[in-house]
Amino acid sequence: MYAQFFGNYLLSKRAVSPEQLIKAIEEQHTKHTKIGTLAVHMNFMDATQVNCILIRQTHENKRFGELAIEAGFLTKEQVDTLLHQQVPIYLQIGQGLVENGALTDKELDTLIASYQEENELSQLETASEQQENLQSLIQNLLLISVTNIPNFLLQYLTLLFNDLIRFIGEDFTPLNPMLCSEYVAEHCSAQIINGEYSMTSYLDLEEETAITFASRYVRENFHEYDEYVQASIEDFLNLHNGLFNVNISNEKSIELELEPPVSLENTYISSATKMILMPIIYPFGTLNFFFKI
Amino acid sequence: MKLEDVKILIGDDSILARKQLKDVVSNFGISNILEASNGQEAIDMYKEHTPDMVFLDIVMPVKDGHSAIAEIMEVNPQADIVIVSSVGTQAQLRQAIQLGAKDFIQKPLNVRQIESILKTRFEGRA
Repeated sequence: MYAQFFGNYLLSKRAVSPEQLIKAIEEQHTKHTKIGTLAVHMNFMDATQVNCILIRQTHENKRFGELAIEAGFLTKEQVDTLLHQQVPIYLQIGQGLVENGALTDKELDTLIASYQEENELSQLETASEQQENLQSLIQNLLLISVTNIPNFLLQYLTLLFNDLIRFIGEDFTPLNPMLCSEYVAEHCSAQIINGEYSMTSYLDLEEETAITFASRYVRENFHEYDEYVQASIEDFLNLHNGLFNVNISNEKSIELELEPPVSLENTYISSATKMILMPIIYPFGTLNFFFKI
Repeated sequence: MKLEDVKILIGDDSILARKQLKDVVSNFGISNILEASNGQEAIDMYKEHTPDMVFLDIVMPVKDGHSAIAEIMEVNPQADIVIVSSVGTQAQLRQAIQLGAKDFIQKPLNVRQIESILKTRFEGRA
């Protein structure tokens, strides 16, 4: 659930640069996680033992698992477990950073441990505890650049992260939010929410990113930027804003109103008040969400 | 009434939402499907073609879904209108039903819910 915030944690600790992080995220889908990285993560081996096996592998033509069993570091059952284990996204990103030389295995291990400890992550949390934790992670993220965060914006973003996981995929990382008063949009959709919590939300994507975004959202393969791809961006924003309205109505008995979403192609957007820009990185590109409140 | 003889009107400003609903509906053998991209178009097409069922979005430009229900009900008080919207709040639901809508589908689309509506209406079974 919180894998999405690990990349941002690495940035906040200045352990990696934004460029190194983005490269690792974008390469994620092309790489397989190594069994050694996973073994450390699951506390089956420590980083020194993994290094020892990696060195042996350079002059023995055997698989990592075989050598680790021979060395007595792993049992056959543990190797089987590792081979069938679903790899958490933060570990995939972490491994990419190690392979690109941004971090050592040991540094990654320490950073994962401290991230988990600082965020008190536990598999035993209830769904509502998870949502509270997610909300506080988002609050911390926003506090980097925004003061006086309205509570409804936190609720809005918590739902946005859930909707991204639900409809697009969990393999994303939010970058630090920024304040801006102007923005040049490429393929953007916007929707106004009126009422007690009035705001305008925007989602802007580059062409190739929009095509993959639409393919994931609609679960069909799009190959070029067309009216369906454009409509997918609008539809996601409209669906998310609609669900936000439903939540606010159910929880607070406040009725908000939505205006129809609109597409803004290659448009200059400016605002007298600061807009909050929140880039979300997926392996296929960046989703630029921004909000005018 | 057999499903293949049914005439459906879909009113939604999103070309994607219309296509998705059209794909679902045509999987049940319905091929007579009309499309409107806003509330006013939906009213005009209803008057011209008198479809057996109308799927309507609420948030639409020119004229929204609520106004469209009211005007279609004036034309035909027996009109069978199903709202398909991402804004399924109690207030929206109440207003749509008061205006005369028969059902309310919360987006994202649930194929089973649409199947159940079609079969109950036109084949007399869920």
